[in-house]
Amino acid sequence: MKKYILLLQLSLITKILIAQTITLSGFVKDINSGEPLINATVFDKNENKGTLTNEYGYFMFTVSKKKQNLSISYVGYKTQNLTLSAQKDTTLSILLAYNSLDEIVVTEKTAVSVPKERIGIHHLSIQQIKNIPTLLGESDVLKALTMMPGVSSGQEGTAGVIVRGGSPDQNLTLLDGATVYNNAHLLGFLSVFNPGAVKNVTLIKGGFPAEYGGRLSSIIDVGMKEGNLQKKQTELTLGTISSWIVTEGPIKKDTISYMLSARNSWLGLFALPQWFNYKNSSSAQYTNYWMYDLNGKINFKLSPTDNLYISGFHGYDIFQNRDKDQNELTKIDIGWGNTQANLRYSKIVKPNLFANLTYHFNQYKYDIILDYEENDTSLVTQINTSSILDHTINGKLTWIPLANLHLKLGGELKKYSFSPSHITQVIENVETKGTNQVLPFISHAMFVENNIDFRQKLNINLGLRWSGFYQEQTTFQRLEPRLSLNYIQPHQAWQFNLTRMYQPIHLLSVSNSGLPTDIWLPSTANITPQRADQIGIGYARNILDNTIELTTEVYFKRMSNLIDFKTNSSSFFATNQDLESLVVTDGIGRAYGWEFFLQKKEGRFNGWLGYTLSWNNRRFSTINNNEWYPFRYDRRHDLEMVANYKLTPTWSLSSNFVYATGIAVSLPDALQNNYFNPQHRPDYIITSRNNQRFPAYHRLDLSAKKEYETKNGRKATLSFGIYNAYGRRNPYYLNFFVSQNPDSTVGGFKSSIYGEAVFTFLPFINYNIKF
Amino acid sequence: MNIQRTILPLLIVVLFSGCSKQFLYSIDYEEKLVINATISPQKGVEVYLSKSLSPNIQTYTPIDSLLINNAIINLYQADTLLEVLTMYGNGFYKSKNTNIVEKNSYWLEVKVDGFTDTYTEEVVVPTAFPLEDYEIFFEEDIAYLDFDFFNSENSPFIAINIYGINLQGGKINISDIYPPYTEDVSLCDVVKVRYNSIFNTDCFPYQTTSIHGNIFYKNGTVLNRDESNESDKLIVSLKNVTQDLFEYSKTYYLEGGFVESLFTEPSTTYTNIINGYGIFVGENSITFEYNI
Repeated sequence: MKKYILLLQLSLITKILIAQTITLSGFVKDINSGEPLINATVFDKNENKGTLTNEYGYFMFTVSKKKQNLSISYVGYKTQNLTLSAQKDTTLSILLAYNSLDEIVVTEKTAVSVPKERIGIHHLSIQQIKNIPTLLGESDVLKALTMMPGVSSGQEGTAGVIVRGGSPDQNLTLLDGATVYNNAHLLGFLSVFNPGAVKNVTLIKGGFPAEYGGRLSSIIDVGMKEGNLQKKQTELTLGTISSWIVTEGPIKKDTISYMLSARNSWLGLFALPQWFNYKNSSSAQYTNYWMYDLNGKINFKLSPTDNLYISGFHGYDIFQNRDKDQNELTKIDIGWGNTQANLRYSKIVKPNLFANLTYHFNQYKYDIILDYEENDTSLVTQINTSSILDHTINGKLTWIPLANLHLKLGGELKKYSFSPSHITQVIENVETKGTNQVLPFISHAMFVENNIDFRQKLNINLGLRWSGFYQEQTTFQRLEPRLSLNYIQPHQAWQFNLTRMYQPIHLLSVSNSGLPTDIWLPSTANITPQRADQIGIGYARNILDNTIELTTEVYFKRMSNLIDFKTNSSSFFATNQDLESLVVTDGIGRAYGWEFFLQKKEGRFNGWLGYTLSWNNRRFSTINNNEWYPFRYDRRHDLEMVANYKLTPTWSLSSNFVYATGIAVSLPDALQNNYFNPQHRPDYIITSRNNQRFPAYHRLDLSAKKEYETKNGRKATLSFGIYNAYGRRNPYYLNFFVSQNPDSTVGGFKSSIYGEAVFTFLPFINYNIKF
Repeated sequence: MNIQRTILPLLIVVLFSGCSKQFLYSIDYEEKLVINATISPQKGVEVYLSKSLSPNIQTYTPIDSLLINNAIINLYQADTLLEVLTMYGNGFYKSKNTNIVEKNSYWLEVKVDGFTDTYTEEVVVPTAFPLEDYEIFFEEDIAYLDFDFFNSENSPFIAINIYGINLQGGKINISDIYPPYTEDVSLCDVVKVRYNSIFNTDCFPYQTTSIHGNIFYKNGTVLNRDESNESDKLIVSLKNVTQDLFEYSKTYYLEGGFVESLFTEPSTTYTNIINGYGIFVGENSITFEYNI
C-alpha cells in the first residue's frame, strides 16, 4: 500500500513540475534563402539548457515559465538573442543571417551548453569547410573531415577517409541520402562533392543512430543546397585545379527554387598543346585527364507543410593516353563515375510529426579500353567494365510527442545489381567475351529509435535496426542494437555508446587510393556480411566561459568477416576469374584509441586541435601465418590543428598543421639470392604483409583571404596561400629497384629505395565571386 | 601490360611532374643468412649459402661478396647429427656420406660467425616419382614428351624440370607443357619458374594421368651457363617435390620480385628458414638425358 501512495505522490509532484514548464518549439532558417539550418543550437541562458535543430531545422524543448533568455547560434551566422516571457507552449520561427564581411565577430560568452550529440558526431558547415586550406587551395569536404580526431586520410593527396581504423569502403557516404560508391575525383586528389553545392556535412564515427546502417565505420552525410526561395544568386570560383559555378534561386518565389552547379578541372586545358602536337605528329605521346561533375536540385514547396525535392548528380573522370612508336599505336581510355537521381517528399504532418519518403537511383561504373593498333589496324582491344547499381526506397517518420521524447521509425528497401568484372577481348577481329557475372542482391532494413531526455540531464538514445540481405543462394537476417547514453550537467557531459553494425557489400581494393579499378561485391554464401561492434566512452566540457569546447573519447571496435585479397591475388587482369577465389574472408580486426578535440568556434580567433592515439590491427588465417599485423592505416599518432584569425573586416588568415604516423606497407626486408639461381642476381624478399612504414606525414598550410565588394557591389573573395609551407617531402609512394653495375669488369648490384613526393611547397590562388 | 603499374604512375608523373620530387629513403634492415638447399635421395644435400643484402645499399656489391664459405652446416635427422656438410667454394656445400631415404625427415643447422644461428624446418623427403610409362622422341627441332604416372597422396606436388645444355644458341620453349585433363581445371595451380613447371595436388586427382609436352629446342639463347662446357643435351627431370618448393616458387616469382607500390598488394615470400631467408626443399626425381 505504501508503494502505491509513494507512486501517487511522485505522480503529483511530476504534474506540478510539468505545470510549471512550457514547451518552446519552432524552426531555424537562413534569412536569405529560407533553407532550414540543421544542428543550429537553441539555448536558454537562464536555465543553462538547450537543444539542436533536427534535419528539418526544427527544435523543441521545455523551459520554465519564467523569463526565457534564448541564444540561437549556427556556425558562420550571427548569433541571435531573444528574450521571451512565454507562459504557455510557444512556436517560434527564427531567421539567422550570415556574418557580413564588414564586421568582426567579437568573442562573447556564447553560453552554449554541451550539445547532446557532440561526442562521436561532427557537424561541419560549408563555411567551416571553406576556411580550411587544403590541396592547392581547393576546399574539399572529405579533406576537411580528415582534420577531425579519429579521421585520417589515406596518404598524400588521396581522398580516402579512414575512420577509427576502418577501411574507406566502410564509410557510408551519402549525398542527399543517396549512396556514393566512389567519392573520389582525380584519382583521389579531390572528392566528388562540389563545395559550392554543399550545404552541410555530418560525420558520425560512433554511437550510430539506428536510422543509419550498411557500413561498419562511419556515416558521412552530405546535404546539398535546396535552392534559394527568395532571390537568385550565383557563385563562381576559379581555382588552381578546378573551377566551379553554382546558381540558385526561385523559379516561383517562396514556392519553387532550383540549384544547379557544375565543376570542371583545368587539367584537360593544360594538355591541349600536347594534343595539337600529337595530332600534327610532332609528338609521339599524348596524355590527358578530364573530370567534371554536375549537381541539380529543384525544390517544390507544395504547401507550407509539404516539400518535394528532385535532385541529381553526375560526376565523371576521363583519362586518355596515346603512345605512338612508328606504325604502332597504343591507346588507353579510362572512364569512371557516379550517377544519381533522387526524389524526396517531405511533409510536416503536424508541428511535431515529420514524414519523409525518398527514392534513389545510384550507379557507379568504370570502363577501361586498351587498344593496340598497327598500321591503323586494331590488333588487340581489351575492354574491362565493372559497375554497381541500386534502386532504393526509404521512408522515415520523426515524431516528437513530448519535448523530451523523440521517436524515429523507418524502413529501407534496396535492390542492387553488381557486375563486378566483365572483360572483352578482340584479337585480330576475333571477339572473346569473358563472363559477365551479374549478381542481383536485395537488402532491407527497418529501424526504430527513441531519444528520451530525463529532466534534461540524462539523454538516452535507444535503437534497433533489423537488416536483411538476400542473394540467390543465401539469406542473412541481422539485428543491430544501438545504445547511446548522455549524462549532461551544466557545461559538461558524459557519454557512453554501444553499437553493432553490419555491412553486406564489400570492396575489393588494391590501393584504397581512389582508383577506378576497385570492385564491389555483395555478400554470398561464402562471403558473409562484415560486422563491427563498437563501444565508446566520452567526456565533453565547455571551458573558459564556454568559449572553448573540449571533447575526449576512448573507443574499442571489433570487426569480423572482413575480406581481403589473398596474398598474391591482386592482379587486375585476374578479375575475370571467380572473384571469390581471390579473397580470404575470415578476417578479424580490432581498433582502439583515444581521441581529444578542443574547439573554439566563435570569435576573431577560432579553430580546433584534434589528436588521436590509436591501434588498428587485422588477422586473416592465410596472411602472415594467422598472426595479428598492423592494418595499412594503423597510425599511432594523428594530430590536426586548424587556426583562423580575422585580421580586419576584410582580411583573414588561416593555417592548418597535420602530423600522422606513417602508414604500414609491405616493403622488402632484404635482397636474397634465390633458390633457382643462387649464385646470380639477388632479388627482393618481403617476409610479411605491412612489415614497414612510410615516413611520418606532416605539413603546414598557410592561407590568406580577402573578402571585399567589387565596384558593382558584388561580394568577392580572393584567397591565396601555400600548401606544405615548409616543403616536407611526404611520399605519395615508395619504390625500389636493383641496378647492376654498368662496369661489367667490376660487376655487382646496388639497391635504391626512393619516395616520390608530389606536393611540396605549392602556392595557390583562388578567386570567388557572388552575383 | 599491368594497367595499374603503368597508367597510374604515368598519370601522376604527367599531372604533377612540375611538383614531383624524388628522395632516398631508408628502412630498417637486419643482415641474415640465405639458405637455398635441396635434399634428395639422388644428390644428397646441396646447400647454397649467402648473406642477404640491404635494400638501402648504395654501393655496387659484387655477388661473390655475398657468398659464404666459412659456415658450419650440420645435417640432422631428429636430434641426431648425421654429417657436417663439405664446402666446395662459391657458397656451395654438399653432403658426402649420408644416404638420404625417402619418407624420412631431415633438417639443417647453419653456424656462421657474426650471424645468429640459423635453422631449417624439418623436411620429409618425398617418395619416388610414380612414373608408369613414358615416351620421348625427336622430329627435326621438336622433342615430343609423354609421361604417364599414378599420382597418390605421397606425391602431391610435382615438378618437371626441362633444360638444355650448350645448345649453341638453341632455345627451349616449355610453354607447351600442360597439365592433364582434370574435372575442375580451375583448381589446378601451375607455377612456371625458368625451366621448371610445378603442379599442385589438384592437377592430378589421384589417378593415372599423363603430361605431354612439345619442346622446341633450337634457334635461341644458350641455357644453363653453369654447365656450358658439356655437349648438347636435353635434360628432363620429373620430380616429386615438397610443398615448400611450390609455395616458395609461387610467392617468389608470381610478382617477379615486385615491390610495394600504390597499386597492388605485394607478394610475401614463403620461407621455411628460421632466423634467415631462403628455402629448404625435398625432392625425389627421375632424370632423362638425351644427346641432341
